[in-house]
Parts: sequence; C-alpha cells; structure tokens
Amino acid sequence: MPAQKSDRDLVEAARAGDSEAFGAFVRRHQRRVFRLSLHLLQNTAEAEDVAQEAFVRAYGALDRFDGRSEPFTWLYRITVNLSLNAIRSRKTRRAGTTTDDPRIEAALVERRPGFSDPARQVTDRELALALCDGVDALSETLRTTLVLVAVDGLSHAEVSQVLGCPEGTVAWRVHEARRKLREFLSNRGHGSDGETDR
Amino acid sequence: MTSNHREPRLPKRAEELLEGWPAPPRSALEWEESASNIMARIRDTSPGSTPDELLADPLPEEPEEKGREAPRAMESVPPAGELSLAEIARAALAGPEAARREVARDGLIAAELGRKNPQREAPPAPPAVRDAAGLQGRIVRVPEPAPKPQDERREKPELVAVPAEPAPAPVSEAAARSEFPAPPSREREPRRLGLAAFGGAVLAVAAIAALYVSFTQQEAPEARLTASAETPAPEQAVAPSQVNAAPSAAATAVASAAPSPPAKQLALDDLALASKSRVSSGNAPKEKSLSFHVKKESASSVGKLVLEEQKDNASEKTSAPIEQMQAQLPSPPPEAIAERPSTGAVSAALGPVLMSARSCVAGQDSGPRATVTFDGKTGRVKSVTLDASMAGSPAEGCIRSALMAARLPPFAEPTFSASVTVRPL
Repeated sequence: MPAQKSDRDLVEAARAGDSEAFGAFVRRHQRRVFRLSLHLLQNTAEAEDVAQEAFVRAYGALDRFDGRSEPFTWLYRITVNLSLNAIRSRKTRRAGTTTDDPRIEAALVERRPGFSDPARQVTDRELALALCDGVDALSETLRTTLVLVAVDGLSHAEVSQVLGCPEGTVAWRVHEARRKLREFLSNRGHGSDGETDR
Repeated sequence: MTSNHREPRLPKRAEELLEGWPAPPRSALEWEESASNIMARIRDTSPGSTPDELLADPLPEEPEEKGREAPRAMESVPPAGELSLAEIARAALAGPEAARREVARDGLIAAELGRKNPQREAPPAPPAVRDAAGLQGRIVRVPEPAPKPQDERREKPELVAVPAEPAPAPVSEAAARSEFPAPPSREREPRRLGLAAFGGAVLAVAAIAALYVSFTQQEAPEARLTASAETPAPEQAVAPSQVNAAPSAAATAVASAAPSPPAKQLALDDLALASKSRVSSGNAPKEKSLSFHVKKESASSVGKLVLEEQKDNASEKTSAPIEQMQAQLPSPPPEAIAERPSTGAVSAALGPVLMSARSCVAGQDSGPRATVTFDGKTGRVKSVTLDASMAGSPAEGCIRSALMAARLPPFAEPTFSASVTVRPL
C-alpha cells in the first residue's frame, strides 16, 4: 500500500517510472506544501498554483534528487524557490494584511478553546491581523525561516536542509524574527505576557 | 552563545496562533481534484525539465548574519604564517630563560601601550615571542563585524567571554577581557585619560606579582588555563576577535585587577601561565608535545572557554604559591541553571524525537497535539499527554514512547511543558 511506504521509497519508485508512487507522494504532502506557499504568498490562488507547480517541478527534477536530504525537504526547497519567484515577479507590493486574508480565516476557523466567546473572537482576529502584518514586515529570509519553523513545525535541521544554511543560522534567524515580531506586536498593543530576554 | 540567553517569546495567544497555523480548510474532494490536476500535468512533464535554479539555496543571507559567523573563527586553524595560540604558548615554554622574561616584559609593555593607544589595530607581536617561536609571522585578529545598533547586538546569540558581574570600572572590564581595549568613544576620552595612571599602577602591581610567582616557582606546573565567565549582560559581550587574541602575558597580568571571582580566577590562572614561561629550562625538553584546545560549552547558559594544555611530561609539579592564592579566593559560582529551558533548547530536544513520533501517524490526514512535560532536575520527560482523539489508538503508545526520549538540560523550575503538533509524515 503506497501510504505505508516511506517518502524515499515513493520517490525511488517514481524515478523508476511508477507514476502512482509519485501520486501517493503528492497526496501525502500537498496540504503542507499548499500551506507553506500560502503563508509565503498570502494569496490562495497563487498558493494553489505554486503548490501544483512545485510537484510538477519536483517530478521534472527527480533525476537530480541525490538522496542526501529527505524528499520532503527537497520538495520544500522547490516550493520556497517558486514562492519567492512569484513574490518577486509581482508588479505591486501588498500594502498590508486585509481582513479577508486567507490566513486569518484559516486561523480563526480552527476550533480552539475560547473561540466560542465573541469577545475573544474579536481579540483573536485583531491579534491574527497584527501577527500577519508583523510576519509580512519581516525580511524575505526571516519570514521564510520563521514560517518553516514556527508555522510548519520543521526542526532546525530540516530547515537547514530546505534553505541550505547551517542550523546555527536557522536558529539565529528564528530568534531575530521572533524578536522583531515581538516588538511589532508590542507596538500594536499585543505585547503582554511575552517572556522577555534576559 | 550568550549565557542566560532566552528566545524572545511572543504573547501566549500569539504563540498559539503562530504554531501550527493551518491552511484554509478544504474538502477531501478538493484535495483529490488538486492531486489529479498535478498528476495530469506530470504526464506531460519530461524528466530533467526543471531548471537548476529551483533546486538551489533559496534565500540570500541577512546582513547581520555575516557578523554572527565570526565565533567559528575561534575553532579554526589560523592561516599559515600567523601565530596560533599554541605556537605562542610553545614559544613561551620552549625558549631560553632570558627569552621568557623578555616575553613577559614585552607583553606587559604591549598591554600598557595598548591601553594608551586608542587604535583598533592589534599591535604586532612582541619580538621576543616571534623570536622564541622561530617564526616571522604576525598576530592577526579576526576582523570585528561592522558596528550595529545596540539592541541588535544584544539579541544576537554569540559566544562571548565576559566577567560574571557587571564590571564597574573600565580597568576591570578590560582586565576581564584579557585584551587590548577597544577604541573609546569621544565622550569617554577624558575618563580614559584619568584612568591611565590608575591602570599603570595596576599593571605595575600585576607585574610584581607575576615576577614574584615566577621566582618562587621551581618547575613548570600543570599548565591548565581556564577562563570561566558568566555573561550577565550582553552589552558587555566581548567580540569574538577579542577572545581569539593571543594570550599575552601582559593581558594575563592585567586580568589580576578584575574584581569578580571568575575574573580573579582568570587572573591567577594567567599568572600561573606567565610564570611558567619563566621557569628554568635546563632540564626541559626542547620539543614538547603541546596542544591547546578552545572548547565551547554553550549548551548551558554559561559561556565557558577552556584553554587546556596537554603535556607528555609525566612529572609535573604544581606551584604552591599559586594554589595558595587560588585557595584564598572565593570559588567561581557554579554553572547557572536557566530558570526554564529556552525555546531553542526545547526545539532541539523535541526535533529529533518528533520525526519518530510523526512516523507513528504516517499516512494519516492529521496528527494529534501532544503536551510533553519535562522534569526540571533531570531534564527528562515526565509525562506525555495526547489529544483525546488518539486515546486507545495504536499510534498513541508509539507517539508516547517516541516523545519520552526527548532530553533537555536541567532547569530551575520543577517542570516545563511544551506542546507540539505531531503532524503525519
């Protein structure tokens, strides 16, 4: 059963011409790839395009997958590159986060404790808005690293494989991104209960 | 890493929101349609059609990242033609008696000149050092990173060696650094001039002490130099280049003026090293097997540099006066244990085991949320709590046992809990 096979098995099979194996690989990772591109692009349609393109490009580069990294980190690298290309090719820059930002809805739709309280919903919406603005205000490098670590839950080692930089650099970027984000949130009035540096 | 370094935490709600931020919900049908579209496109895709650019490292370096790479230079071998720490020490120990005294004296003079001379450039190595080493090299410091705003530098996790307590007087500060001071700003110039006389007096006292120790010492004792310093405030962080500088006898002597216990420890140890450079060399072999290691123990919140000399000589005697002086000093504080583990430490602890846990739910649509509670004393996992949705499932035990393998450094609080989402592989 393809779902039980490891990513490496699926990729090896796909390289050998088994397109069904690659289909299983796509179904396994398409949600995460879509979410990653959405957080980088902040646009559902663009994220959808990039997510599909990432798999197509990965398939076109299967012969160059050397197996030194996990297949999904290799796929993530392609996704990040495609997302950054899409951002750089935009004719206009986004002015700021709007209330119909797909990330906001996604965050608020998920059932979390306290979401039934309308007052809490308003507060959370404002916080999510500020958080999106803060993340978007980060540099391309810091934002991408933060999204991979904090949002996508990758380890520093995995992110270092995705981005091709040392783990220490990843740790520094995350630290720096969090610091800037904390400052940003503090200026927006969301600075309480954050732990401070000592 | 700076000690007591903490990962900046966002407000709790913001952390919850950021962690595991989901994508907009889509139905299984929509996902399947998307997968079908991809597969349809793949049928028209030929192998090798993807440009190499898409497989390259995606992101440029941050401007500040260049500076943070500097600490690694400490562990690197100096380029050919430059005197390494071991070479300088070897020169100090292997040369004749006169040369050793010359080394110590030149070191003291160089330190004093360094104090008076506000130039950033390091002065050339004392001639005696070069001559004793038999090398015509030069001491080269790692270039310091470009000046940055104070707050940016403070946040940067860098390897530093600073005194345990905020040094009140500039002399003490410089002494703890064991390095020629950085050029003062314009507003600090008058104070600097005023302290020059005091610094000279301190140097003289230190020189006398060093000479006294050297004459009372008969044979080279164990040469183990340990500089242990806790970093109280990042503002006082010493640049990596300063840590990397050659440990001249002068810097050693200057260190004796430091008020804090670790700084005193450093001063005494340095004095011991300086005195060893002057011991009789009549029965000392010309070629000793010496090696210096610069160890970075950064896992804990205390930055610790250990310069260790290993000698083949079995008959090593310790210097009694130095030990007496060391015994009279208060012992340096034990390694500080962080109040609670940093986010980085938690990530490092959970990262490896999370992969195992994720394999437990491989192929599933979603994974559970787990709360891992660590015991402060041991750093081991005390308990793992999973979502109710996982109760009784085969994956529950698998995830639990995988996460139980996580380990943190001990911390002060009794327990610490971290929540992770175990996403399927």
